[in-house]
Amino acid sequence: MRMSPWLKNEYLIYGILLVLLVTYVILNHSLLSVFQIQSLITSSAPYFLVGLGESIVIIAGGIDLSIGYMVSLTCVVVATTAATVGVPLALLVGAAAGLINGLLITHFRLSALVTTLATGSFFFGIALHILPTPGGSVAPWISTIAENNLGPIPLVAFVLGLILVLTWIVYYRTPTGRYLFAVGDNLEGARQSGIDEKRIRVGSYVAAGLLAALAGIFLAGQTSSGDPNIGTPFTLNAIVIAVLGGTSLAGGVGSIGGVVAASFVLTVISDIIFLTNASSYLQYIVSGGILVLVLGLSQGVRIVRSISRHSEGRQVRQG
Amino acid sequence: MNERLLTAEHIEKRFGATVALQDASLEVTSGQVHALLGENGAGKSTMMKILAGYYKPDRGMLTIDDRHLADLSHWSTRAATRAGVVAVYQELSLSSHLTVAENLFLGVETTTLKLAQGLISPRDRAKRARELLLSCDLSDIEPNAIVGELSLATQQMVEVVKALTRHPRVLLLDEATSSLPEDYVQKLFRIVQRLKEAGVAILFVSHRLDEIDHFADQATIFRDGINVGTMDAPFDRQTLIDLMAGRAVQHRATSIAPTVNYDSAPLISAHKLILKESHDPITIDIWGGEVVGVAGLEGHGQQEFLLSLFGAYHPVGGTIRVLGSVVRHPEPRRMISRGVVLVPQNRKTEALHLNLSIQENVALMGLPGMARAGWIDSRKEREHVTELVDRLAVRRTRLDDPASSLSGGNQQKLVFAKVLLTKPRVLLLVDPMRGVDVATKTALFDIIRDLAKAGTAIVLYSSDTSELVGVATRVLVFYEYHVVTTLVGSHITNETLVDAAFHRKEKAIRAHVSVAQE
Repeated sequence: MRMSPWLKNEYLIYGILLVLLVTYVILNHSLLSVFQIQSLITSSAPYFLVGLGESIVIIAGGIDLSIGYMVSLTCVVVATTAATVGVPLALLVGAAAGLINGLLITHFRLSALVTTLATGSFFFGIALHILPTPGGSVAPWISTIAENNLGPIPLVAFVLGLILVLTWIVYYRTPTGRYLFAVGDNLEGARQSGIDEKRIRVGSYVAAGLLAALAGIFLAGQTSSGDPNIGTPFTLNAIVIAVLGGTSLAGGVGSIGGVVAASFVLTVISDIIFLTNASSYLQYIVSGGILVLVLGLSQGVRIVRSISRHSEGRQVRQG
Repeated sequence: MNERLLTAEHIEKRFGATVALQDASLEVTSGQVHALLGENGAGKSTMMKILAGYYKPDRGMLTIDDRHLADLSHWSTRAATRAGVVAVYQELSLSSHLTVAENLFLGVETTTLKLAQGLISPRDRAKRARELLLSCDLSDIEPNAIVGELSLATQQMVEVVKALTRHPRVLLLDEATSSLPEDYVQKLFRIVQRLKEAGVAILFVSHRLDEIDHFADQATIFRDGINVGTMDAPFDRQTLIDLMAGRAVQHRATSIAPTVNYDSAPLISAHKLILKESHDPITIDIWGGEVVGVAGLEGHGQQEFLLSLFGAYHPVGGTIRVLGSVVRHPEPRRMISRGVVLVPQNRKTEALHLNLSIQENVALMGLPGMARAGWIDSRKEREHVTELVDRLAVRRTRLDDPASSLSGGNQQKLVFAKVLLTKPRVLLLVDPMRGVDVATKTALFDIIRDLAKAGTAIVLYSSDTSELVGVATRVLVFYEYHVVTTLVGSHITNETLVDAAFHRKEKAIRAHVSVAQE
């Protein structure tokens, strides 16, 4: 009962990315310049970080609606603390926020959906309390990493590359990664296989918190300031990227390549919106629209498959 | 007179690259019980699902009452039900949050119930349900009970009765007996007998050859998606087995001579284990090399006993020891690390990860042993998995295919491979042969014997008590959450097991009666 490969979400996303890049080139009247590729990578960095975090949580069978507010909170923390402690403190705050989510959900058995909606509001409140309006200052070295290049390669690409490799190793070469997928696919089965499922699920929320913190730090560096509202759109976008990248909302299925491609897709779409001088609010409509479309598509794939199998059968009979 | 009700001709069905049925044909006659036999993956369930309208065939023709259906694109469960073809699936299709009565009439309220101003009367529905259950000799099932709170066996019976409210002319029973204890099997076959006399055609899939001998008038055997023979009763068992397997298989029921060293420490012990409030405690030692059978009527604590030994059920009181030392707060994780593993009753919800690959499933419990400095040793993993998958003869294409691509029996072998990878000291088996074909059963029993011979302690619960005969060295018979009888060696026979399970029940009834008289 496997889908033919080209219909799988994971492959679909590469096709979509290709189409969008071509559209972008046409609208732009020129091929992609080095600068454009650099800016594409830089702008997609926060998308990738939150998308990967969300994907990890969803693979483990959960969901995190607080991820955007964790971005806001950590962004504000970096911009309001001393240059030396800003980054480690922000990472600590991100990890702690994820730990709170994870413990509430696994040890107190609360609904992930409602819990993270609530903690998200909590994190947002703290962020606003620390810094009600955009401001603060960020250590120059953070801005350097967020904006500068080494030769033709953006510095942030090295960070992202490192995260990619690390995630790949954990996913496919360690027991922890195997358990992540197993827990999301069948929680009871994992429990009866002797897997410490609580540790895995808590770990997935902590990973999301850490990745959100990295996104927060990056955004603070990029704007050289803190902004309590900066993370708000990232919650939905994180889910869009995870799902668009082939992560199954039912858990147990997901890939890294899909998340990378999906974050590029979202970035290219916002660039195209910018190029066509369309209203920037369109971004919100597009994000919401994509999510419904992708969910509908994976449903549609099943219908198309059953129809095609049918007509095939009929032709054979007539022949 | 007996007439042809349903004919399926040249049916073909593929799932991706897998051919489930190719050119399969079948014919069922009114007033006849027709058995559909074959090994796991032979296409029996697929055929049943096609007849029931659950799948659409890729090719082929159905004839119902001389009406030819060459174009099956509109064939659906609704169309099948309208034509009088009703199925009872092996996977339960009941809504677990609804009551028995609600389930029984689900979808047919308007046609079978008396409606007042177009509204359902819950009281009338419960009354009708009670009558229906009574007519099936199932008056112990309460119409207002929530289905999810009933035992698996009771749910299966509700599923059967539900089919009756659809007024079947052809009733399909897909391994309906596999989760039933003996007394329910008898009730089911009385229902079947009644339907048969009323001219209903019954098509059933079962792996229990005894049932087929007793109840079937005709049998069709499938192998690799085609029918290889149809015959009338009485059946020659050896012929049936040979046709199913496509080769001569020795039907073995040889007993193993226990080579248990009772001087050594018992591998696992339960001390004053109380499974349920105000029930008698269980104390037992189990040694390596033993195959301890667990029997009794369904729902008398057998499963809870095994799950307690595994730490997946928390008994009211008592302690579990492994190799003499007490396990505090038993939990599956703790028990597994001490070498105690369990094959759960429901492979799909409790054991397998259907989206994960065959290899990932088999390796799951053994990963700590195959990891070095936190990394999985891929080569070692592949070697271990391949060795086990081959030893258990799992029929598969690639190790990277998802577990969902395997048929039921092969999935069960996968569960065995998974627990065996941990090289267990104690193997707990909860009804492991449920819905498994004869050849697989033989293979799995061979493995159980080999493990026992190699010193593993085995605790085997089976809802089919005859499976314990010839395998178990000792059988614990459960009644009301404690052990009432222990049978040893040659005292373990079908008769003694059934007697032991029922004997106590009769006594209990008598006791009630005498109390009432006082």
